[in-house]
Amino acid sequence: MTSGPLSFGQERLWFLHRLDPQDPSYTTHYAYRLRGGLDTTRLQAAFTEVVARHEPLRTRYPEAEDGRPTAVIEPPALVEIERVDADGVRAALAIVADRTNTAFDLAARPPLRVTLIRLAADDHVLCVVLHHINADGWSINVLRREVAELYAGGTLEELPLRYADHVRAEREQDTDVSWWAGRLAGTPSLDLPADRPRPAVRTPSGGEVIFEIPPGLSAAVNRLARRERCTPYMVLLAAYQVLLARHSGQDDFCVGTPAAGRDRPEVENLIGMFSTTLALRADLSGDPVFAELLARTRRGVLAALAHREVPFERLVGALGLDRDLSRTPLFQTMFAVHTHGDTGDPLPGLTAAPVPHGWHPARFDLSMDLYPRDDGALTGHAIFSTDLFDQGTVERMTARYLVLLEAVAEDPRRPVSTLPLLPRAERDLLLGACNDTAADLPPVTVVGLMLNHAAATPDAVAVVHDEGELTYAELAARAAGLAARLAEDGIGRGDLVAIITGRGPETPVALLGVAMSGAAYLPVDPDYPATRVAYLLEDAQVARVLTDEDVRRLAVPGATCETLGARPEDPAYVIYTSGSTGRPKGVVVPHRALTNFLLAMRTLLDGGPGDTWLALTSLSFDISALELFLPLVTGGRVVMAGGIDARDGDAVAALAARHGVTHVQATPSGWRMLPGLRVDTALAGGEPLPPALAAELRPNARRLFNMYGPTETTIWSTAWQVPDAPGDVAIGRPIANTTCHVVDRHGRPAPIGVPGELLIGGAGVADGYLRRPGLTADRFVPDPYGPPGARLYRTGDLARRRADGTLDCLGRTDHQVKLRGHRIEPGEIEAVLDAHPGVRQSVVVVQEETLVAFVVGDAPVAELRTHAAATLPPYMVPGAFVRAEALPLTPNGKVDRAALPGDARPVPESTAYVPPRTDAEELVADVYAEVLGLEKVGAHDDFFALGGHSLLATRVIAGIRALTEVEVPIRTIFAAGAVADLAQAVTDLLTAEIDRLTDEEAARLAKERD
Amino acid sequence: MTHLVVVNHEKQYSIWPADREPPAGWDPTGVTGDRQACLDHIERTWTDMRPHREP
Repeated sequence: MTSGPLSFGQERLWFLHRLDPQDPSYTTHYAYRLRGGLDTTRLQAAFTEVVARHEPLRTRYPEAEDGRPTAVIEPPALVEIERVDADGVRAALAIVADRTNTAFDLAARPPLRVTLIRLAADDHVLCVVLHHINADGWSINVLRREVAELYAGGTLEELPLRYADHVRAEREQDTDVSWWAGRLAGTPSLDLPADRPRPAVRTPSGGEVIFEIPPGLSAAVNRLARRERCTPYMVLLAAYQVLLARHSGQDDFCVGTPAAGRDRPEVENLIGMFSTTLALRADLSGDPVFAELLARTRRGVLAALAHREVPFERLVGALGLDRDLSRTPLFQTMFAVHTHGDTGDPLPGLTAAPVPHGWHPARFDLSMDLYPRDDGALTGHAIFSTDLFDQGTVERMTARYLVLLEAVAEDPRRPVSTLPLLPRAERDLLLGACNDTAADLPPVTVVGLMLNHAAATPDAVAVVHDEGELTYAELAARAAGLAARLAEDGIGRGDLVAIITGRGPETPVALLGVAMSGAAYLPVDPDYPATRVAYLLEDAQVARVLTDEDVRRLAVPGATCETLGARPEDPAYVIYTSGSTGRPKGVVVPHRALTNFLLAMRTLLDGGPGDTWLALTSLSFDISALELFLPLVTGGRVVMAGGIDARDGDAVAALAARHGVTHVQATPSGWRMLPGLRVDTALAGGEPLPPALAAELRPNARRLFNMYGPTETTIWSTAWQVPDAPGDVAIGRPIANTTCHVVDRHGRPAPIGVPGELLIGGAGVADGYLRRPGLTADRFVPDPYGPPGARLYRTGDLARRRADGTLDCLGRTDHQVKLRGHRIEPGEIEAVLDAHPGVRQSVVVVQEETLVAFVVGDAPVAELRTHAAATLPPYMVPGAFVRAEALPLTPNGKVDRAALPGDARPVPESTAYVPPRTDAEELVADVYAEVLGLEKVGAHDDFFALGGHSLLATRVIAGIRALTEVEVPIRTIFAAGAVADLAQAVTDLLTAEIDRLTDEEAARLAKERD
Repeated sequence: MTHLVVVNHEKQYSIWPADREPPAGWDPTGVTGDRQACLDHIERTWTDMRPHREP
C-alpha cells in the first residue's frame, strides 16, 4: 500500500464528495446487454488483470489527519463481480439505474462496481460503474477495450507510466493561475430564467432531454465551420452561447468545456483522471454578427487550450467564488461535443447492445452533450437541474437551439440579437393564440351606454349614497343639465374640465355631464396638497374647475342647451401619473379606449343589473373609472363611499352591508385594511398581489381577480381569476381587443419563460401624454404585430409568459437592481419573505449597496434571516431588516418606495482588528492562522475573505476536530465563515454533544437501577 | 444606434431602429439620428397631438 497526493482535478472531485457524500453526479459508467454464452470466470479474470495494471482502479481517497485528501493505492486483488438475477429487462434496467445512481464512499474503498445481471443463461446485462476521480470518459474506453482484449485471450502491452507520475508532473509544472484569474475575474454568474427560485444549496437532482441535430443540419454546421476556418465544435459552442445569451439577457458569462488532457502518447492507454474542464468566457458584447462571435470563440478556445493546466480549486479561491453553494463556481453550464465512442465489441463472441443507464444527476444548472452518430446526425443530451427547470422548459430550449443553428448556417452575418430563436409553433402561440382577443367594439361612448339604461329602466337606482339615491332618469337629467350649463359657457370638444369632488353623488353626475358636453375631465383628489393641485391645473390648462358645490349648483334637471357630446375618438379623461423620475404627466385616454375597457369588463365579469359596486378609490386613480362607470354600463348601481375613510375596514364593511354591495375593487394594500369584507366579486390590482394575501382574500369572495394594467392602456389590460388554492400569482391574459407582448431588450419576442419588458397594444392604448410629444413618442412605439399604424405602449414592467400563455408580472424593470455583479429582483425576495407566516407585507429596496427589507408583521428578525437564507442564495438575503408598523402608501394606495426611511441601514461592521474574545474564538482563530499561514486572525475575520478556499476548509474542519473532537459539518464554514460565527457553531455543537452524553449517561444509570 | 422618426395615418409620431423596416402603416419622415435626437426633433415639431381620426 502506497499513498500520495491527488491531481488538481481529483482534488476538486474529492471536495465535492466531501461536501455531499450522497451525491452520485460524478459516477461514470457503461452498461451493455450481452447475448450469447458468457464465461464469467474469464470475465472476472479480465477485470482483475486490468485493475492490477491500472493503479487508479485500486486507489481510494481517505482524508488525512490534517484534513488533506490522500490517494491510497491498494495491492492488486481479485475483482468481485456482483451477480444478480432479474426476471425481465425492466427489472434489469432498474438495477442498472440503482448502481449508476448510488454514490461511492471514496475513503473506504476504490470506486469500482461491476455488476452482472442475469436475464437467462445466455442473456446478461453488464454494468460497470466508476467514479470520475479514477476514470474520465477516455478511461472508460480503455477499460472496455482492455477487458475485451483479455476476455478474447489476448495480451496487453506494459504501461509506460503510472498515474502517480502524471500527478507529480502536474505539480512540478508551472500552472498559470494568474492568467486564468485575469481572464475570468468579474465574470457574472449565468442566470438562466428558471421555473423555480434557486435554492440556497444546490442539489444534484436532474432531468434529461434528448434531441437530435439531423444529418442535414449537422452537415450545414460542418460547411460553415470550414468556411469560417474553425471546427464544428466551435460553431456548435458559439450557437450555444447565443442560446444562453438570448435566454439570460447576458452578454458575459462562462461556459465549461472538457478537455481530454491526453496529448502525450504515453498517457494514451492509461486509466485515470486526466481530463480537465476549461472555463470559456463568452463575449457577446456589442451585439456582434455570428461570424464575429465565432472568431471570438475560436480565439477563446485556443487560448484556453494553451493554458489548460488549471488548478481549479486554487482558481476558484483566487477569484473568491467559493462562498456560494447555490450554484457551481466559475461556470453554471457545460458544453461538450464528444468524439465517436468506441464501437468495438465490449466482449468478443457476444452480441452487445448498450442499454439506458438511467443516470442523469445535474452536475450543473444545464449541460449539453452532443454525440456524433453514424448517419452524420448528432444526438444531444441536455441534462438540467430539476431544482430550477421543468422538462418542458429545457425541451423548448433545445428546440430553439436547432432554430438558431439553422439560422447561423444559413446566414452567419446577422447580429446575434436578430437571429431567429423561436420555432414556428412557439411564435404562433406568442403572437397569435395568446393575443386572440378580438371582440366587437361599437362606436359608442359611456354616455350612450348609460343613456340606454336610462331609457329602458328610468326608475332603476343608479347611484346610492348615505343621504339618498339617484335613479337612472335623475342621473341622466342632472348630467344633461350640467352639460348644458357648460355648453352655455362655451365648453365642449377639445376642452378639459377639472373635477375636484369627493365620494358623493356629485362625482358620477360631473363625470357624465362633462362627457355629454364633449369635453374631457381631469380628476383631482380634493385631499391633494394645494401645490400639487395648482401644478395639475396649470399643466393641464383646464377650461373649468368643478367642485361638489359647483356640481350641486349647475346640475339642474331640465336645463337644455345644444350639446355636441363626445365622440368615440375624443378624449374622455386626462389623468396624471407620477413616474419614478420627473414631473407628473397627463395621460390622454380617448372614449373609444374607455368604452372598450368597460365592455371588456362587462364580458369578463358577466356584469348585469344586479351588480352593486362600491366606489371607494380616489378619483385621481384611473381605476376609479371602473367602479363609477361599469355599474352604469351594466344597469347596476354604484354606492358612493361618502366621507368614510377607505382604510377604516369596519366602516367600509358596514357601508357595503348597508347597501348590498356585491363588487369591490382595491389595491392589495387597500385589501389588507378590509379583512372582514365579504363580497361576490373582488378585484385586486395596482401593485403585486402577494400569494399569501391572495390565499387570505380568496375565501372572502365568490370570485377574486388579480388585475394588471398601466394608466396608459386604460385602467386594466389583463386579468387573472385567482383559483381556490393559489400558488404563484399571475396577471393572466389580455382583456378584449388587447394584445400583450413580452420582448427582449432588442424589442424581439422573448421566448416562453424568459423575462422581458411587457408591451401592450390594442384598443386600450391611450393617445399619449398631454403636450409631451417626445415622451409620447418614446413610450408609445410602432406595433409590428397589430393593424397598420397601430402603437404599443412600453410598460417598463418585467413580465414572463408561462407555457399556457398566462402572464406573470415580475416587477418594474427599473426596480431590478444589480448588487456586486448579481442581478436581483426585489420582488422575488419579497415573495419569499411574504411566505413567512409572521409577515403581513414586505418591501425590499437597495440602500447604500445593502439590501434592506422593510417588514410588517411580528416575525422575529433572526427568524426572518434564517427563513430567507434557507430559500435564497446568499447574495439575495437582505443585509438589514427593518420592522415597520405599516408601509407608506401613495395617494392611490400603493406602497410608496420613495417614502421608505433611508437611514434604516445598520452601521457597517468595523473592519478593524478585533482580537478573539472567547476560548472558542481563540481556537478557531488559531486554526485559521495555521491553515492560512497568517500571523494573527481577528474575531470578525472571514475565512474566505482571508484567502481560504474549499480544500483549505476541510483542513480547518480537521484542525477543529483535532483540538475539540467535534466534527463540524463542512457546510457550516460556508454559512458561518467569520471566526465569531464559526466559534459559535463549535460551541453549539459541543453543548449538544454534552447534552447527548448526559442523556446516555442517564440511560445507563437508569438501566443499572433496574 | 440610429433611429428613424416615423409617422402613422393619425399623424402620431414615434421612433424606430434604422436597421429595420418600420412596421406597416408607419412611414419614415426622413429624420434620422440617435434616439435622443429623434425624440428631441419630435418634441419640437409634433405640436398638434390630437390624433387625426376619421369620425
